[in-house]
Amino acid sequence: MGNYKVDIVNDIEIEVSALSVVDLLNTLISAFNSILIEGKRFRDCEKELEFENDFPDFFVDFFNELIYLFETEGFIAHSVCDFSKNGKIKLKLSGMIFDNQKHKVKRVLKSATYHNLEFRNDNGYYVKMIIDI
Amino acid sequence: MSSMYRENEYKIVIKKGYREGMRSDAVIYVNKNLERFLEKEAINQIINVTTLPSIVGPAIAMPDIHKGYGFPIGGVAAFDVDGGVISPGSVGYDINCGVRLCSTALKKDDIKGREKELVRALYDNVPLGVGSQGNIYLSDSEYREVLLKGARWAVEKEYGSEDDLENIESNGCIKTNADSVTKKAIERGRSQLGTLGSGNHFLEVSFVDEIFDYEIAEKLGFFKGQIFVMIHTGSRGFGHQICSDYVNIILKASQKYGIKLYDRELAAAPFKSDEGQRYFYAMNASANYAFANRQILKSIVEKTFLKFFKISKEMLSMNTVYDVAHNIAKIEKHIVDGKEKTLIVHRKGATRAFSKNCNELPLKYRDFGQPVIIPGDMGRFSYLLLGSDGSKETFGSSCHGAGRVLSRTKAIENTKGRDIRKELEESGIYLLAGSRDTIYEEVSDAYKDVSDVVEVVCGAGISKKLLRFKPICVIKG
Repeated sequence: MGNYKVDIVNDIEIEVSALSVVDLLNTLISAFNSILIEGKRFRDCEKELEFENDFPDFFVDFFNELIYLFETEGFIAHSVCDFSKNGKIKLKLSGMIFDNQKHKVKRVLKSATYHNLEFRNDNGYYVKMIIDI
Repeated sequence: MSSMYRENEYKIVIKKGYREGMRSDAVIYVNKNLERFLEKEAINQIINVTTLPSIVGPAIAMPDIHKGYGFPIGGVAAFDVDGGVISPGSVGYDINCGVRLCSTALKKDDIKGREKELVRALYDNVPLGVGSQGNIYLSDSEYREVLLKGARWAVEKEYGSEDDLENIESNGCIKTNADSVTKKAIERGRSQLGTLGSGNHFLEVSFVDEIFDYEIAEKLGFFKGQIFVMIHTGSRGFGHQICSDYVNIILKASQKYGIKLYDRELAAAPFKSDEGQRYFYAMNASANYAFANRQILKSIVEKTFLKFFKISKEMLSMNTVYDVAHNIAKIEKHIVDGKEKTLIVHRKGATRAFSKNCNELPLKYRDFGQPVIIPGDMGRFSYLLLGSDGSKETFGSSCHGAGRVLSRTKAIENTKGRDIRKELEESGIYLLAGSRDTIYEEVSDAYKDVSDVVEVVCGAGISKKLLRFKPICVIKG
């Protein structure tokens, strides 16, 4: 598992680092959930996702997909359980559906942005992005 | 003369040539008092806007300017429809975030002693807050009608009345098609129509604390102590998704059309290109969603007031004064170098402010100028201004609010140990919010004093003051 830092300025700045891409995505999920909800997360169901964009834009798209899945289906991601990159990026997400007996929503997120997006791939992976709230 | 200089008490000019790539000047409306809040990044951002192709006139920053994503908040830029560009980031993620102002026949004394009950009644009846769902579930065909008809759809469903429509910018409906609306946006907005949202979205009940032009106020039926309602919200998840989806599409289009970007969030495509037109129609559909949203919320507030005060609709007389968008791109005609030009005017955190005698305005405002609604922070004043002749210098635009000066983290840090709700109550303001964090993030200290912002736009002749409001009840998500 990697590390994340969340800074709430006018919007939210997230910095995530990890040794592998899957770890990076799982850390991004943890950061996302720390901003969005209170309550425990479990692996009750799965989603298969596909992305057109490559790194680094892919990370913005991934974060936006987490927002979309939450707002439309109440899906709260737990972790990435499958990942492949061959032209398109395909992955499987495990998670659960929001339950207002178990979860509380903390904040509305509008979108991850490309503004000041940073990505590094040396001795591990690092992403920094700004989220509009 | 230096390329960046203060032209007068209210205006800083940055001349074309100050930095590489500028195609026009940039102008920042700010007085010496507010200049200390000017962020370097916001200045850079307004300069970046001047690099976009076919920009007409200067890129303009209002006194509530602060840094955004690519395009600063409080910014205005106009492009020729024939050769110019359209840019989703120059409108913002919350398309047609805006404000509805309603007058009533009630006076401050009618609420005295019942403020807490009223704020509770509003909090219980208005869907708001994080992840809130509305009480309206739309079928596909109804959804399409909302996107095409805007506030008119809401009136047809008996949310408010026909009278409301003429007092909404563009009569609450911008002509468009729904063909380029993305499936994701439809799904994201499906259960959010008729909801307030959270963060800096709010509903405020206030009273007229000061009148600046008694003659006009009287002609419009406004009086001191009169109760008004202000609703600040936008296109919710629908608009956020449209912007997200189209920033992606337009970024690729920028490359395709060879548009150099100094910031990726300034992604732009020729207005008349396929991509540009698709975004334009999708943006207009989002704008209509937001107009419908505010119309529904006005109706919910009206019903809450009727039940609370146990009076008739006629006795309450909750009328729409005006409804303005402050994140939008609109096709408008403006005089440039003595000639009328058709432009696509982008306003991001800026309000349309047409001066008097403009045919676009409802008849009752044509002698006075367009109402410009300026919300302050939750602890201080809000204003009703009127568009003035000086707005011809700003493509008919004025400021939109106060503008943040403290980060959310700093605001929470600085207010540690303070009971903000209690402080507000001691000054006669009753607040209910869906989240404790919202209260501390949205504290007055986090914002510029809107009175300073208003002073600049009025001093510069862009708008003139008509009314000042003091809040009594505030609800936030």
